[in-house]
Formats: sequence, structure tokens, C-alpha cells
Amino acid sequence: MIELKNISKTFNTRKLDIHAVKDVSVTINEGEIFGIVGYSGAGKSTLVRIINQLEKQSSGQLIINNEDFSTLSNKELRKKRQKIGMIFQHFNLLWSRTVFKNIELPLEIAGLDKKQRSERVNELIKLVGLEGREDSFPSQLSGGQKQRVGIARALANDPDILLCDEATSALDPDTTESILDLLSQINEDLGITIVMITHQMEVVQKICQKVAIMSDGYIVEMGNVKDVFAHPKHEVTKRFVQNIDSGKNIERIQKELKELYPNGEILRLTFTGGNSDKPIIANAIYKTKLLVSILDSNINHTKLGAIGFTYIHIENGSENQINEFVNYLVSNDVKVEVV
Amino acid sequence: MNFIKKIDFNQLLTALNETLYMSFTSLIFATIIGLLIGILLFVTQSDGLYKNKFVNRIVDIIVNVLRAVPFIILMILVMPFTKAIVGTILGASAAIPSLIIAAVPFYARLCVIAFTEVDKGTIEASKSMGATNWQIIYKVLLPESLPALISGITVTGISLISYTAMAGAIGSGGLGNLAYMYGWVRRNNAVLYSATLIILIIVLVIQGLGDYIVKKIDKR
Repeated sequence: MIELKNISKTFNTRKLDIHAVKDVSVTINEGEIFGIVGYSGAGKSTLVRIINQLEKQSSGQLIINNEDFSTLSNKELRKKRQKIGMIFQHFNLLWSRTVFKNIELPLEIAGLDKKQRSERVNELIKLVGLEGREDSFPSQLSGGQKQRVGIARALANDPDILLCDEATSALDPDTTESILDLLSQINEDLGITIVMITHQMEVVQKICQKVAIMSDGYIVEMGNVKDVFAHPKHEVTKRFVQNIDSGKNIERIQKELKELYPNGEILRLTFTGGNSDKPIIANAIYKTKLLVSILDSNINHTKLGAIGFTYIHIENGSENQINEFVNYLVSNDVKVEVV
Repeated sequence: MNFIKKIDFNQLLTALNETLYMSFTSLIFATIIGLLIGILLFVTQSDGLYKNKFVNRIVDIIVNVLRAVPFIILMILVMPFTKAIVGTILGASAAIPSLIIAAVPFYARLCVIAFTEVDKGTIEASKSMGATNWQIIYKVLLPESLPALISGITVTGISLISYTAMAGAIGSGGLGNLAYMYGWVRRNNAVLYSATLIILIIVLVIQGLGDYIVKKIDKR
């Protein structure tokens, strides 16, 4: 269990004092995946570094597994850090070492002998799915593979806690997905507590159980991910929640529309690009003489054409007309779903 | 034919030997001492592993002062010291203390630049693994800056060769001395050109070798 009690951190620069973290109190339970969300400069990076004491708090207490970290000597602290793994946005691998040697580094630091080290490294390579890449250098790996090395390295000394500092921010959506899968698998299999800081709400939504929202050094909102998403209270939280177009969000929109328009059909048209030039909806209406109203729409114009969705409502219309309408849209590469 | 006859090959070989001896002996010492001072400067910086403003300032001033003194003057200033430890102020060995003193601050600066270019993130990562400062230095800082440290040795080596030529002017021997005393003073162009050519070849070989090693070890 990680307990932060009234933690504040002030950086004293020559010109002014920067209050990065202000009076933060959080309890993170064992085995939890805890997300800390905020815009850049909100203080979340500093907060996560207080957990492994890369930054010392200016005031307040850090207690991990009932041990007060502020009383530890440097030597004891280094020992403790071996049990707190950390992964980074830019992976922070050593270019001069191979995958194998990078993962071996924390074991060298912990003072294991060569045989133990190589056994453990091989286990870790299997765990993160990098078999066959042992002798590659980081420069020969993709971003996702680099982060896998980072994860293996962070897990080398069997930590109780894994800190993730924007671990997926430099990755594309698919790779992010696979890294998040790996992290939740590790969380389930090894029971490691994971603390993730991120500005990507999707990440929190996908794997975190609890979330804290940080703004200007304060934690402005905290709770179960579901509750925070369903009823965001603080302005910053609302902005974060609005920014995601996720499954849950679609469900909410569709439910609301159904309540508003109980009669007739509601269709969701998804535009996936390549059909931007033609007035498709207008043509469909012209052909079928159906009366259609647009309820909600979110179309972005990109290089690939129009991408986004439109909800339409058809109050009166024969099945034939609706079929013709839908067929015309489908033949123009528009995805149609009945809500 | 006449041109070749004017060259005393034994003399040229002796001079080459002296130049190589002076350059490489002082390069080895300068590399070791310069590296240590470079590490000291880097770790005592304001965001360093052993932050120490006082030590950093003092070492920094000494390095700057030594770098500012022109080599030809430095050699003269160092003479009493040379006399005390080598026993003479003439010959190749006598040039070595002043060559080292000139090259150490030069290489130390290059080391600091090399260390500064190491990704701070890797140092932070090793801290997060519980590494001691000493482990960070020899497991992360040195290997991660190795290509730059090696090109630094190349640059320092080449500077040392030109310093030995200057040392020749005050009686250290070597190719510089040969070119000056026989080539210039006695107007023997054959000696002047051949000595110059050999110096040029040494420089090119050192540069080529350095570049090759850097290319081999740099996996970025």
C-alpha cells in the first residue's frame, strides 16, 4: 500500500519558487492500477517521482507498506528502489547495451551473479514476448518493442510497485493497446501495484481501476474510474472526459437519442474517408424521397476525406424506401448502423 | 635524385621515433588524467551526482587558466618543474610534462561535453533501479559516452602532434625540431618537406583510426 500524506513539493529556482505538488494525499491499495491524469505541468511527473524518491518532497509523508520513507538513509532507499520499477515515455534504454544487457542492468546493480542474472533475463524476455531479439540493440527496435524492454527491465528485481511515466504517450494507438494489455496481464499475474501517469484518458479508461485528476499541483478529483467518468465534477475532468470518443460515450449518445426520438428509425452513419466530395446524404434523400433529419454530427475533414459520424432520424418511411436509402449509402462507402 | 640525397634517413627515423614517443606517452597520461578531471567536473555540476559548487568552480578555473596559456609559453613556465622531475629540460622526455599539462585540460573539457550529451533519462532510469553513483558512472555514463570520449582522444592526439612540433623549437627533438633546425634554419627543403609529410601521415592515420573505432562501437 502506498500512502501519500499531505505531500507538497516546491522547486526553488533563482527567480521564483515553483509549487509543483500541493498538499496531495492519496492512498493506493495493493494490486491496484491507479491512474493519475493531468495536462502537462499539472505536477503528475513530480508526484510519481516522489513515490520512488527520485524527488524528495518538501513536506508531507510517504509511507509504503507501513514504512515511512522520509526516515530512510540513502543506502536503504536504494535498496527499496530495487522493489519499485519504473518505465518512461522515451523508454530510457542504454543504446550501448543489447536488449539482454539492458534488462540485465538492474540485476547487476542488485549484485546478482552471472548465472542468476542470465536465467532471470531469459524469463523476463519470455514474459514480455521478445524472444529472438536478445542481441538486438535498442536502435533496431520499434517503439513498442523498446517499451517491452523497458517493462522487462523494470520488473527485473521482482518489484511490488510499477511506476509508469507517460509510458504509452510516444506510441501509436495499436502499440499502446498491446502495451496496456501487457501491463494489465502483469498486474493480474504478478499482483503488482501499478501507478500510471498519463494525459490520455483512453489509457485510464482501459486499464485503471482508480483515477486521480491533477491540475495545478492539486488533486482535484479522485475515485473509481467508472464514477469519475459517469459524473465528472471538476472542470478539468469534464474536459478530459469530453475528449474521448469511446464505446461508452457512443452508448450514452445513442441512449439519449432513443429517449428523445422514440418513433421511427435512428441511423448512425460512419464516414471513413474517400467520399467527401459527393453530397451523399442529399443524393440519397433525392432518390428515395425520404424525409430525414440530422440529429447529431461530428465530421472531421482530413487528408483522407471526411471522417466521423452522423446520426439521422427517419420518422415516416416504408421499409423499401429505407432499404433503398441504406443501400445507396453503403454503395458509397458509408457504414450504416441502426440504433 | 639530388632531392632524396639531401635526406638523412637515419636522422628522419630518429625524429619520427621521438615524435611518436612524445605524442603517445603524453596522450596516454592526458587521457587518464583528463578523464578523471572531466568526471570530477561533470559530477560536481549543479545538477550532478555529487553536486559541489566549490570544487566545481575551483577545478573549472584551473582548467580554463591552463587552456588559456599558449603552449609555447606554458613550456617555458613548466621548465623548473620539468627539471625537477625529469632531470633535464632537453630531449623528448623533457617535453612530456608540458605536453601532458597542455592536453589534460583540453581532454577534460571534451569529456564534459561527451558526458553532457548522455541522455539524462538513462541516468534517471538507473537511479530508479537503485544504482549507486559509482555504478551510474561506470555502467551508464562511461559506456553511453564512449564514442565521444574516443573522438576526444583522436582530437587530443592530433593536437599533441602539433604541440610536439612546437616543442621541437625549444629542443625536444622530433620531426618538428628536424623541420625547423635542418629544414628551415639550414635551408634544406628536402628535410622540411619530408618531415612535414610524415607528420601529415601520422595525423591522417590517427584520425582514420579514431573514426573507424567510433563507427564500430556506436550503436545509436
